[in-house]
Amino acid sequence: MTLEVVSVGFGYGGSVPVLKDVSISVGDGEVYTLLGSSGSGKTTLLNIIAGFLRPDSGRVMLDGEDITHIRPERRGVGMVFQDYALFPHMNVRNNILFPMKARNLARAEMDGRADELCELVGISHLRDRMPSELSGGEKQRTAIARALAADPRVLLLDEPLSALDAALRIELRGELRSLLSSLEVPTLYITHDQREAMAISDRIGYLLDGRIIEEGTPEKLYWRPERVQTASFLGFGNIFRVKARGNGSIATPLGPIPWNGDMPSHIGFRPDSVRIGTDGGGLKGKVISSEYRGSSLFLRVSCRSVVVIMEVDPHIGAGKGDEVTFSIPRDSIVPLR
Amino acid sequence: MRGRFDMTYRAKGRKKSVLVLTVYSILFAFLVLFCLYPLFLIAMKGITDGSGRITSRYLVDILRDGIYREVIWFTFWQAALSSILTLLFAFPGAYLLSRYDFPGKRFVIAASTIPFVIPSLVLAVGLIAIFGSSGVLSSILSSLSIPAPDLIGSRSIIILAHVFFNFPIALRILLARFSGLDPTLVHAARSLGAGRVRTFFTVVLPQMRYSVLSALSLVFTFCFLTFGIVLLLGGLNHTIEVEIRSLFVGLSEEGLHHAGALVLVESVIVLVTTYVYIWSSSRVSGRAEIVLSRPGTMRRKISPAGRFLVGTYVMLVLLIVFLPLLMVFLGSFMAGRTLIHAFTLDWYWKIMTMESGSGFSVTPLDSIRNSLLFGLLTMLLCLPLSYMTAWVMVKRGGRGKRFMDMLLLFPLGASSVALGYGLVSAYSSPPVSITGTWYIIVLVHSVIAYPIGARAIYSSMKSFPPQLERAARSLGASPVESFFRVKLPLILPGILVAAVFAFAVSIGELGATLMVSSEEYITMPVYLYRTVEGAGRELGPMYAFSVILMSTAFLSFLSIEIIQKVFLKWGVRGDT
Repeated sequence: MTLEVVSVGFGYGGSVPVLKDVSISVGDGEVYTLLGSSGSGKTTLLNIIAGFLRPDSGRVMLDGEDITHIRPERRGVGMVFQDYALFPHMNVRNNILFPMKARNLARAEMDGRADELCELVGISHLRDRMPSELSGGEKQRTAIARALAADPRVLLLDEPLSALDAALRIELRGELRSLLSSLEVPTLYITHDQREAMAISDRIGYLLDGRIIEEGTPEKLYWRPERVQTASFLGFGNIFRVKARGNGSIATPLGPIPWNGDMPSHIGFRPDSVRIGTDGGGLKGKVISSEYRGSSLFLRVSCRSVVVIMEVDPHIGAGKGDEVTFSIPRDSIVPLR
Repeated sequence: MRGRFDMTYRAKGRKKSVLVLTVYSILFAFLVLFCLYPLFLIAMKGITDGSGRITSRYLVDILRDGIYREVIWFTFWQAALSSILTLLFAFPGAYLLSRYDFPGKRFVIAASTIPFVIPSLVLAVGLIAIFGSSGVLSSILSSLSIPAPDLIGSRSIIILAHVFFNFPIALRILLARFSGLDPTLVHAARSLGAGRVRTFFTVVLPQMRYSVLSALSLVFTFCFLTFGIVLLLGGLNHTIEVEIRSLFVGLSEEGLHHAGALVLVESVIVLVTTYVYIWSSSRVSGRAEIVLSRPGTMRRKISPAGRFLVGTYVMLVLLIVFLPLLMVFLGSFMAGRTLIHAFTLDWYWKIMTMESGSGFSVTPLDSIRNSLLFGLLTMLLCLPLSYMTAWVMVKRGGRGKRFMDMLLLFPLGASSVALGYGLVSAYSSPPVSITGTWYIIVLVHSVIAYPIGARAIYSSMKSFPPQLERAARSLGASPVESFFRVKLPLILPGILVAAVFAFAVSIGELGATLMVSSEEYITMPVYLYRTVEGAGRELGPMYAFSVILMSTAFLSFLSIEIIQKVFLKWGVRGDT
């Protein structure tokens, strides 16, 4: 099964459309994450796919079938809501039975399937609890089990971890990843948290101002993004505008570097790829601030006309005012546009 | 967020708005036919003369004539004084109840809903039992050989009754806001160096101003439109409503025109106060819901002074709510007129066996049967009306919303006497003649009751999270299925509360019923009123009959409590 969103545009009636020509395609068993800050249009897109909104233009296709105008309950799109939207007047079991009752399954079949799903997400012992008696993590599992009980052809998750506290979020992230990859349906996952996106997804699309400006695997987006905005969102602390110099090199604020191929408008490198030390040559700078972060030391170093951010071994112990020499490995410098 | 999701149906906007439009049309048709048009007829009387020409004569008359001017002035100042006293009494109480936790707090708060369902007539009878010439107070005073003032018929008893009757309403409005205040703001103020008093005046009080205004304007409106209490306790003091009624009954052509003019003046004032009420309650921020205890209530640390204050206040509340009812109850079982007498069931027996005649064409039992029947029918008619009203109020946003809401809730502030009389005069001749029928009573009760029910349903619809319906849809439930299995169970408390209110209003209504009911269809309040007014004023049967009326109303109150207790489990409740 594949989910395809084809050039979807949508506006709430204001002058600025929320989504402009968004296209994505999620394959069988693939976890695709829409990454974007709040207001980027993620939730709107999810609502269009689920059928709560109708796009102004474009189509939503499931397995080649156009479902843009099909009613939400006939789409077979399972959704896990941000605050889970568990029915407060039904216990866990009845929440999970809800979609099966809506399809008029046989009683025995329903019960069996419900037990199976409880087992799958690990809430068998909570079956008789009311939603108000569940913890955040338990609610989340229930919501997932309920969405799966509808036998969805595609699964949508709207920031399912955002209502949980930080420690639990990291713990459940891994669990969710293995659960999602065991499913054989396309999964569309929404988050504003880049680490969560990295941990969960097969592929990530970065949504900015209603457009997917870049997509790729977590590794690609993490190490070799192509767009300035993506790089900046994904923690490239150092992004500099560059100029072509002719004769196969470019001018950067830190000095010229040789360059083959297309001329980028910017270059960037991650703070953790900076090498610090005295081993010959390299750049010199003065530490403006240093921030200890346990496993690493964050330095802001003034060098030539710019500030370079670096994440280095804490044992270096550089403090404010110190002179440091450092170098940037050539292969960690990424061209951006 | 909610605003946004309301618009999420934009693409289906046309279909939705057709539905909204249909519901609006049904509601407005009902409103125009059975409320606006009859009232319009009456009001027109005030500005036209006998031959139908527009004239300002009657308006000038009532503003110049000593008697009418006195009536208008009295209605105004008694309402102002009553509402200010009510607020002065309710404010400290609401503050104490929100600050301190104590055993029985839930009971006190629950008790404060009783006046919503107890007919004002019963309260009036209760005050007669306390302050009347043969009441408890005068027996106590005369046994101490102090001359007892006969308060019945005085202006003070009217104001006293209004404070008695309305302070629980004010208490609930203020308490809801007090318990919604963010306690960290107070903590912040204190840590920034403001003392207790300063914090109260600079941080707490400013956040209360819209609630105070909304309680003030609501109580003022109620006191301004007061009827039963003044009719029974007021003696020669007339409020506009009572005056209108005697003019209608007087049947003089001139009087009718003056009544019309009075209705106009009354409506203008009530329109203003109702608008102030709706405006100020829409400005109250936060959840307008009474929270029993929240972090920040001082459960552990309660000073002796605080304990004393709370204790005194709680006693006062209970006294005010229950003493008049208790007196009526005791009186109904007592053989004599003074304080302590032999127990008797004679009065009840008398009611059960009383024949028609002696000014009544029906027996007391007939009136009880009538009231129960009309109560149930009113409930049935009101539920769809209240539901539709609440539904369009939730669905429709944007420009003109407040005006539409006000129009939909218009009967809340309408003169019930004029409404009753207007209905009779609008539909008394063919092609439509409903005068004297049983359904004119049900109709007028429904017109008066449905806005109250609509508010109850509205508040539970508002607290229904819209994404639950979307969740149901995404799980494969059709719109109908998701309504019956998800939305309805969750807003049911509000619907049931609305049903109970409709019943209670119908059971207790006097002003409009007096105007529309024929001898055959006399209701309990009408019967009670005639008993009180009747010659001899035999207290025993009056008390006994009041107890029956009160118990019927009290049963409906109990059912609200039970409903809320059962449904509170999942935290969606319908409040007034």
